[in-house]
This record gives sequence, structure tokens and C-alpha cells, in this order.
Amino acid sequence: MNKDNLEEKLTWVALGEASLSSEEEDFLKRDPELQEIFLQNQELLSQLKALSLEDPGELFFRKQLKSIQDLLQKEKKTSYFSWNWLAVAAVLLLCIGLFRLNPWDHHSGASQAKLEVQELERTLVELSPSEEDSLLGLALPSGEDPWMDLESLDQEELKILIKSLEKVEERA
Amino acid sequence: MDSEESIVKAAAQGETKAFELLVKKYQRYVYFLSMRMVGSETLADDITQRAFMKAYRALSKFEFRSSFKTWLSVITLNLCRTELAKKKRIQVEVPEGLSDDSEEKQEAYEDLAHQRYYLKQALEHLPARQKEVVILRIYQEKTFKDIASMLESSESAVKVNFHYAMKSLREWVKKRDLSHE
Repeated sequence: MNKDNLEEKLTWVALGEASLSSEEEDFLKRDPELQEIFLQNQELLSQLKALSLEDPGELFFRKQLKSIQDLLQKEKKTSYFSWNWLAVAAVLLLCIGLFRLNPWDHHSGASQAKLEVQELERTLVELSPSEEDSLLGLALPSGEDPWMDLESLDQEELKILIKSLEKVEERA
Repeated sequence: MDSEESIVKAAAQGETKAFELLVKKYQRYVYFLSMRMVGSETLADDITQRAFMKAYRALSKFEFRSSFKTWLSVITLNLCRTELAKKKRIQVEVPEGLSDDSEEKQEAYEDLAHQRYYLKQALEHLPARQKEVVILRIYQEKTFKDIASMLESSESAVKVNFHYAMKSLREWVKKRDLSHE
């Protein structure tokens, strides 16, 4: 029989979660060290169980509950506030989006610019690389990728590009 | 539907009144668990409030895989662990026992109150995991199986922790008895 195993089992016996076999009981009777551990375990557990905590009283818990209620209120207000702001932000974004993509206003700057960019893109595809470079070079600062900046061109730059394109087409 | 489950579900949907019912039901349990773990009334009060707020915020993620009480215990234990780690960082010296205490204290060993004080000290200085297992088993009367699931550990590992805690506590008691002689 393993003494360490029996020592561990004595912990469960003291807790009432195991019982010793007759063989283990005999072993225990012959081993004073294990007997001491057994008694210490029982004493220790009863002392631990007797370690009562002072009840702080009803008033303490009522105060604590009030604090938690206040925190909950604050939490709710904060989340309500942030949801409100989110809603306002969403409405604003929606308005901006509708304004920019207004399908009834074909003459608005934004949609006009979009159409012109699309048309320009379509035409540029048909040009040779050198023609394309010389054309875009008229409007764009050197070193910039024309395709990356096509969308960001302003009205004036687009007009120059379109006129230049027409000239290239006439020449062709 | 189980009444507690319906209360938890209502609370998860933002009904503060429902959540307050849960607070009222488990407030003492959380406080005493924290108190056993951290040994300070002020800190236990603070942990209790924070545990409930944490639970309130995370309630929508609670999936009823355990009872609400077990889930709340895990939140509480995590907060206690953080506080104990902070305390450990501040506490430079861990007392070896009471053998080097003042004469007055030596005399007071015979007093039962001091025996309890000593045992509390011993419990206080157990490694966190051993302490959790002892508190959950002895004071919260949880089974080792429940403790294992709460601590995301195996039942045998939890039992080993309990066994070693008992061993350490026995050593402390032995030291006390020796210093008393």
C-alpha cells in the first residue's frame, strides 16, 4: 500500500467523501504519522468551517444594492446617450449619401463628375500607353498614378482632360 | 421555463428591474465569496459591485451552459484573482507565521480568536488556486466537479490543489503549535 496515496485519501475521509477499507484501517493503526495526519485533517476542517465571517448587516447590503442600482442607471444612461449619437450620425450619413447620389438631379456636380470619369476611363482604355501618358500628363502633376487620382480630379482638371482627349480622337 | 432563466433573459434584454432581482438574490453570496478570497470588507464590497456590473454588461453573451450563480462566481473569482495579484505585488514580505510576533501576541495564542486569526492568515497565504478550491469546497459547499468546471480545470487537478492546501495548512498549524510550546 502506498503511504502517499493513503495520506491523500485521508483528506477525502475527513471531508466525508471517502471511507477506508479494512486493509487501509489496519495500515493506519500501525502508522502513528498517518494517524496524526488523520486527526489534524479533521481538526483543521472543523476549525476552517468554524471560521465565520462577520455579517456586515442589512444596512450594509441595502447601501450596496443602492450603489449597484445607481451604477446600473448610469450605465443605461451612457448606453442610451451613445445609441442616440449613433442614430444621429447614421441619419446624417444617410442624408449626405442621398444628396451625393440623388438620381433626380443629373446636373449636380457630383453625379456629373462621376459620369465624366466613367466616360474618360472608357476612352482611355482604347488609347496606346504613350498616348494615354501624354494625355494624362496635361492635367496631372508628374509622378502621380493617373488611375489612382482620376476620381479626385476637380471639374476644371476633368474639362482639360476631356478636351485633350477630343483632340487626340480628332487627330486619330 | 425556469423562473430564474426568465429573469436572466429579461435582464439580458436590458430590464434593469429584472437584473436588480438577481442582485438581491446573489448579493450576499458574491460578497462573502469575495470576502473569503480577499479578506477585506471594503475590497469585497467593491468587488461585489464590479462583479454585478461586469455580469450586467456581459449578460447578452451568457448562454446558460452553467447556472447564473456559477457564472457569477467565475466573474467574482476572476476579479478577486486580479486584486490578489495586485496585493501580492505590493506586499514585499510574506509573514512566516506568528513566531516572531510581540510578547503580547504570543500570550494571546491561547485565545480562540487568535487561533482563528492564525488560520485566517494561513488561508490568506495559500497560493490563489488552492485558496479558491478550499473556499469553494468548504464555504460555498461546491462539489469538486462543480469547482473543476468553474475553474476550467479537471476534477483530479482540483482535488490535488485541495490536498496540497490541506497539507500547507497543517504545516502552518504545526508551526503555530511549536511556537506556542
